[in-house]
This record gives sequence, C-alpha cells and structure tokens, in this order.
Amino acid sequence: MASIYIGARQTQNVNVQAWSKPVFDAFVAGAWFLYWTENTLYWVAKPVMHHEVVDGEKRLHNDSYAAIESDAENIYFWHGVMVPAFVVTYPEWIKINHIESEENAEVRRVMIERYESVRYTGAYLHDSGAREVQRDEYGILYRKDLDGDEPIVMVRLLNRTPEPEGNLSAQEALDIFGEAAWRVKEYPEDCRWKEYYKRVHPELRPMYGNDAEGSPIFGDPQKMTARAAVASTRGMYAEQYYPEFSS
Amino acid sequence: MKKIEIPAEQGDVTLIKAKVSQSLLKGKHRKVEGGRAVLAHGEVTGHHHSLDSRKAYILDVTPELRALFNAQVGIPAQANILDGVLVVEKPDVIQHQEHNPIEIEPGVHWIVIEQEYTPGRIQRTVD
Repeated sequence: MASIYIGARQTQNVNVQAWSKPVFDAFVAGAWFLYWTENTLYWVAKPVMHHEVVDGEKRLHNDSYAAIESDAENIYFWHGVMVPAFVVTYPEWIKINHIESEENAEVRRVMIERYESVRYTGAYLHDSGAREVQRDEYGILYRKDLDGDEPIVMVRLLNRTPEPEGNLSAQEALDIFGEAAWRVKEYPEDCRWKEYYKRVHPELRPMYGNDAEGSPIFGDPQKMTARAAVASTRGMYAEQYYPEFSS
Repeated sequence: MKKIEIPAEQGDVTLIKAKVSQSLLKGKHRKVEGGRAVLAHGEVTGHHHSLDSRKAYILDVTPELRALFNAQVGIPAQANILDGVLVVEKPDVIQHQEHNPIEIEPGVHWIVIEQEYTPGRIQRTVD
C-alpha cells in the first residue's frame, strides 16, 4: 500500500496522495504490517533479519538470539535451520531426550552441534551411550545410530604430546585408551593428557575436501578401524597411512 | 592405491614427500610471520606449526601444484585438500606450542591439513 503514494506522486493525484502519504510515512518509519478496525489501528514493525552468506546464498542465522526479530514472534534459525529458541540461546538446556525425540533430522543435527558446543566434541556420542566399534593403537571408534538419519561415527583420540590443561591423568588415559595410550608411558606420571573426538564419514571414506560447488568429495569405504578413521581425515586409506614421525 | 611417504605429522598437519619440478617451485611464497614460515594457525589459540624462514619457505597452492599433488597421491582430479608446499632448504625443526618438535631434512613436501566430516560438507580442522 505504501507504494501507492509513489504512484500518486507520479500521476499528481492529490486525492490518493492525501490518504496514502500517512501509510507511506508509517512504512518509512518502520511499520510493516497494518490492520485496522473502525476505531483502532494495529501495526507491526518491520522484522529485523539476521543472516549469513554461504556460497553466495543468504540464509537465516543468529548465534545468540532470534534470526527474525519481530513484534509478532521471534523466530530462531541456526545456519538456515529453524529451531526452538533454547537451542540457540541456552544450549546447556539441551538434553539427550530432546535430541532423540526430535523427528526432524536437520533440527536434531543442530541440537547435537549445540549440545556439544557447551560441552566437548563427542559429548553426545559419549552421553548417549554410543557403541564402541573397534579400538587399536590409534584410538577408539564409536558409532551412534539415529532413526531416519545417517549414523554418527567418531574416532576418540589422545593427543600425542601431554598438555598441562589436559582433561585426563596418565592413569585415566591408560585406562580409557589402552594400547592407543602407548605414548603416555614415555612421559612422567604427573603429565596430563587431552582427548578429543573427530567425526568421520560413516563408512570411513577418505575425505578429499569440497569441489568448486561446495560438494564433498570422498574415496571408497574402508574397514571400520580407528586407524582407517584417522587416515580418512588426511585423505588416505589405512594401508597408506604410516607417518615416520608424529607428535 | 599409491604408496604415500609421510616423513612428519604434527597435530593436524601432515607432510607428504613431493616430487616437484624446479619451474613449479617459483610460485608465490606464503607471507613470513615474525621470521617463521607458518604451516597452519590455530584459530582460537594463536598457536602455529612453523619453521625458521631462513631455512624453509612455503608456496601457495596453484592449480598446477594441486593437479600434480592429486596425481602423485592418486586422488580424484577435483580433490581439494592440498594446503601448500613446504620447501626445506636446510635441516630444521617444526615447532608448535603444544606438540613436540619434529626434525625435518631438506626436501619438498606437500602440506595437508586434517579434514572433519559434517553431513553435506567436509571442513578443515581448526585446533
């Protein structure tokens, strides 16, 4: 309706200008939606949109509040996925049962990401009782099956060098990782060690980055081992992955 | 499946032995930072994997280098995991604030940074 005023100016229609100018002025001042009765005018301000640009495309996203701020309703998006408000604003409120009862795979994926953002990478896998698939001198391989979505497969690793801020004592590292903690014995007992999780392709296909259109490029499936999982993160197969020196 | 020689790996940085002609080694050098040739930065920590810039330099990736790397390690032509080329001219040590140093001999090495899987997209690990 506000644009009618512009047309009325062009055609110099004074009568139309008379009623459309206040509407135009209201729009310029921030009114977005108008509704009136005989004696009351209701208006809603223009929503404030927050977005990010990915591969040249805009998508709604705000990492701290609503992506659409509106008088009518605030709506929350995480990288283009509409989610409940608490997933964005209070990720510490997300519980395992929230994630597992969510029917939409995209929303569930965001919930897992946000759940781990205030805990640690791999927290969902750990807290939800994921199944250990295999372990070797490289680490421990886990799998968590999800209804209607691809499984989450992650490899749990121990840093190769001790760190003062590590979350594990030497004994804890040995208890958890077994043969994968062989380096721990080469350092003083009071050293601390940091563990971390890396998500890999569910079939451990080597990862070759993304093509020019942003689509991922993978190799062939591999036998499900922790070694193959680590190799896949370097774009290799387990049989190719023999570093001479590593730290 | 091609054999891959990995002389050194430090955290999320893997070095693969490379065979590169002298003509391809005349490309643009990566910027030196405080006398260091930096293989990779940590986004949050400010830590980095680096060498003495008087002994080594890093070449930015060109389409020719990427094609050569993909062919040498036997991965698809459109693969996109090469992050640079490390040229070590004198024996040196790869340093990082949270990893043990690794000695490295003169030679040319492909630089590959660890990848992580997310549904629909592969992303580079940032430590």
